[in-house]
Amino acid sequence: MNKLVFAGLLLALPLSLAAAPQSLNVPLPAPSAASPAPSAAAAFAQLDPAQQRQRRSDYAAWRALPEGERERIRQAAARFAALPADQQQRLRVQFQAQDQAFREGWRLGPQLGAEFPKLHGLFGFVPPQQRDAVLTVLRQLSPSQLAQLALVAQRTPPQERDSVRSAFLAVPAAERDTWLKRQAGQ
Amino acid sequence: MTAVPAPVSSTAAGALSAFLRGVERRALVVAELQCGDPARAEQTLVAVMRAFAAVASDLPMAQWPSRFWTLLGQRQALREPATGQWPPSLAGLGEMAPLPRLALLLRVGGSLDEGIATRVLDVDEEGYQRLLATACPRDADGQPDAAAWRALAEQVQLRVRDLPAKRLQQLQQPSAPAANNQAPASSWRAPPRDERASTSSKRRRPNAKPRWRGPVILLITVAVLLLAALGWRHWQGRALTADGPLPEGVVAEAGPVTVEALPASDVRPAAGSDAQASEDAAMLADRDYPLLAEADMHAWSAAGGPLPVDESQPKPTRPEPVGAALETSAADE
Repeated sequence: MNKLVFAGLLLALPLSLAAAPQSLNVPLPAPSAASPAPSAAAAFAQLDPAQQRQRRSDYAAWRALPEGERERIRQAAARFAALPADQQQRLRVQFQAQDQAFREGWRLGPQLGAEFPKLHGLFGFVPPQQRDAVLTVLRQLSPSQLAQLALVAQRTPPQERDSVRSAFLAVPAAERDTWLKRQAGQ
Repeated sequence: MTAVPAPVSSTAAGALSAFLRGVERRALVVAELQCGDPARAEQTLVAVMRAFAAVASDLPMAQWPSRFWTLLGQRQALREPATGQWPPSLAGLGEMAPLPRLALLLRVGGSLDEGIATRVLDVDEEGYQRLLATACPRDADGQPDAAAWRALAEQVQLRVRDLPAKRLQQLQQPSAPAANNQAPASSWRAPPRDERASTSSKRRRPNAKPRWRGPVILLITVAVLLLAALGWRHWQGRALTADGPLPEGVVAEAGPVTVEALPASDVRPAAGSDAQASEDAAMLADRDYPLLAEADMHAWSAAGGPLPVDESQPKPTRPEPVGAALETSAADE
């Protein structure tokens, strides 16, 4: 009661009225223990809420990959598992040392991940409603189209990114080559 | 020493775009409620974003918020707004003088801390508090009305939250043809800073309140609220002890509301987290779950483990702008 009164008092003071927090971190309850993979579930329950959210988004990204890309990753994981511990550690360190934006790009799979640093300007921050469309289109592009798109991304000033991205998404597949050539030439 | 122009790497450009994205919603509401004219606010904000993008690469990121809001706050459209229109719930804003209104909006809409707000408003701490005190709504007796302030702040916050995405997209549309833009640009571009600062301080002087008034009003507000709270608590305590023993299961009574302890078995996760739990179970059962945590690294190694080019180093293969090269060699001499 006392605390409530005091909190109410603080809120009422004009000068203590800071803006509402941008986001609230509400801890999520641990999932029920009766899940099919007890060891994975136990390990997952040990993670803190932020790590759990991260794992869920990793899984969403994984499910969004085409099966071919998933298979490449499975094979790479198997090769990695076969390496001696010190080599595994070296690769981990080398990868972790990279910029976060670079690392996140690889969640898009081996093919798009390789182009992602160059596409980041145009596709690094995409409104949620455009996300699926962007991924679908990007996965349809040939390597040369991707290279041209990378040029476009690098030449687009920040304030025009959203309009250029929307324009690109609206181009029919058959006209993408022309559009990319024209846009990259600008 | 070599003066190398700050390289605009894709990371820096990404950071700029992320910064603008983070700030545009609040900035648009502040500008709009300051001008009382959505179209003018948009026009102003677009110009500010453009101006900011041009200088951001020369600034450390720590200075971005202060520079961005200063560019916005110094615009003539915000400093000397023409008569505007405010929604009925925020009609009080229209009755305020522009500067106190801006101080209030920067605080409750822009969520700026005092340090940045004082720089944007070009006032010292005391001046800032005085502006806020002036902006604070009054009750019938002319006393600061804390509840009205809070309601005002909530209305402004609500606008920030509910701003349609379409309005924000309009900000990012390329502006109308340059020729069209040229004429208004000079009219709504703010005059040089020092000139404006002196005129606005001159204008403030005649009706400026004595310096001690703001803090005194605040102190009185605090004292009144404290007294009210203590009185209420005292009355609550008496009311509680005056009643007989509480019925079984009742923890406490607060006026008309009876507070009861929930039985432990009733504490269940909400329906939303049930769905979450079953999604989690599906994820954990997936045979690929064990490689998820490092799927990014495996994708990288599947692609041959390429490392990004270090864009912070000047590369001889990339032609530098002639001007930059000259500047560098001049600085070397």
